[in-house]
Amino acid sequence: MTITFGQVADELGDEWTKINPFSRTKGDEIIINVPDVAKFHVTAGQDVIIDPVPDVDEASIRVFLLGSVFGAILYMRDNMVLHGNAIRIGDEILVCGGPSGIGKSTLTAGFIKRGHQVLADDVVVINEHGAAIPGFPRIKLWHDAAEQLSIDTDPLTRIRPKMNKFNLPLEDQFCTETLPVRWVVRLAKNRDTDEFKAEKIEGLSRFTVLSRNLYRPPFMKMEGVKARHLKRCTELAGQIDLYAVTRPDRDFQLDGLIDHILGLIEDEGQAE
Amino acid sequence: MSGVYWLASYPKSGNTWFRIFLTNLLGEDEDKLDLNDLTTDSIASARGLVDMYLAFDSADLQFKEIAKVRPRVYEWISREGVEKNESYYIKVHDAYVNEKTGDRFATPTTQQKTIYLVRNPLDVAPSYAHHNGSTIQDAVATMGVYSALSRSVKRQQDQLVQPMGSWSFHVESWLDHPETNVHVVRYEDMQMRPLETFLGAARHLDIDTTEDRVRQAIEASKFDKIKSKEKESGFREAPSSSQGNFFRQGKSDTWDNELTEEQQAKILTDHRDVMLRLGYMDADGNPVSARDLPPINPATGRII
Repeated sequence: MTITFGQVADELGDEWTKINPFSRTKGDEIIINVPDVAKFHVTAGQDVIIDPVPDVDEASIRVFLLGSVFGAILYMRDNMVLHGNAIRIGDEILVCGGPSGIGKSTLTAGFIKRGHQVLADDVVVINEHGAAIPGFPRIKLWHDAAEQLSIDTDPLTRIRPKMNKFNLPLEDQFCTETLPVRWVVRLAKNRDTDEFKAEKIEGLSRFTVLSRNLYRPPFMKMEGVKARHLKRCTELAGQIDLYAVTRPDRDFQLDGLIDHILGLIEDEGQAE
Repeated sequence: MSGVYWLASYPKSGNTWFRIFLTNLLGEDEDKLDLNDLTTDSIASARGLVDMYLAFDSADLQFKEIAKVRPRVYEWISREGVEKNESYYIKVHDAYVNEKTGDRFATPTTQQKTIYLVRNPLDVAPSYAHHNGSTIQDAVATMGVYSALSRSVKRQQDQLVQPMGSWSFHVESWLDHPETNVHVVRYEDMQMRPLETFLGAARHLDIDTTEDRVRQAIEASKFDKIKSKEKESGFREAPSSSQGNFFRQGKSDTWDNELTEEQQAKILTDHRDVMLRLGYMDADGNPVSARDLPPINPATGRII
């Protein structure tokens, strides 16, 4: 693929469909506009033109390039793309998804501390064989989450200037192998309880719950993506164990959550 | 009309009560009222809501960038509502203008109407203190200066930052920008003159309804009923600091018992102009009780 700096038009003709206020699509192209950072024009899952705002810093461009832009590219290349993390458990992959702010990256860091490898954080790419492909060897962590995990943020770089969110690089903790996805957990939180709850999702609901974990749902409006997603999602739903796990809102209880999730996986293993 | 209807207020000014009324008005069976599933459409600053209309993650944006994208999101939501002939009733605690930066909450061309709920700041203060688990002294001080909700810069909060400004600034920002298409509802009028107040608000929201339906919805939303629902099944929107008592007293004019003279004087000084305008203060500078409030023009929030 090629990534170049160039011009991306401000005014687009009617042949471009507006996906939302910040993205438009036409055929196998998408334009993503991140205000005050850059416009990105992606074609055929292959070529990216970046039109940066004058004097914008590189780190800011990188965040959106490696996030939304790569997400769009991977959708165009016929992968399933989920918003979450991918953790290696034995030789299989656990994917944890959930709404923004539920604690996915904090959970990723927690698994690392327990000695697990991480395949991906934020953008999880699953190929046509239902296997997760290694992403980028880093996690993005907020200051408070790092503190909770006793990770010192002083040596770390900020993901963008003026933000208290940091890039935590991964070395041995990063899994470089493509491995089959075996479990998917959808996280939620509940104010009314101090307990963890888990429900195994069976039947037709599996498709709906799995679809909730899609990376950038607006990208479903790109040509062909939704139809391919339906097919991939059905295939994946057939091969995985899917759980909805609720944690207490009042107190994150990271270790408790990890124990709970690992417990579900082990119980399933024993039941077989 | 369809599109977006803002239910805007400073905290502790009757927003939830109004939304409960609206849920009862629009719903079928008031016995089935679930405080944790109100009919209205979430809060404007809900990260999940805004993220649905971005092509990137709000968690990767700086505050000033978030301020830039939000108005375009709301314009889009409003346009969608108009195209689908649907109405969205969305709660807002933001001031209409950011006191520090001048950024507006919505674009001037967004099709929007607003119900602005307001309450005597002398009663807001003790309620706000209880809500936050802080002292009344702190609440009075906060109301007198710029403040913002969900403003942490070190962790990701479920809501985006909501700049509120001082209490006075908040009121004036929604009332003095004609594009908000505002209809002012005083908390005290919801208590003292419920039928005409709630009916007027429903009409501003373009809801086709009858006096009887409004009466029923008012009855179903009475404080004691809501309070017992909270005891029964909790209220998810409440902060943990309120300790199961989000619905605390639901009364007006308790400030004489709850605020010291010094605290009362500070509020009367900090918010003199707006209190005069809304009828909460008389020409001699004395506070006016809920019972004696003069009528206001809801389009301007000024005494008639």
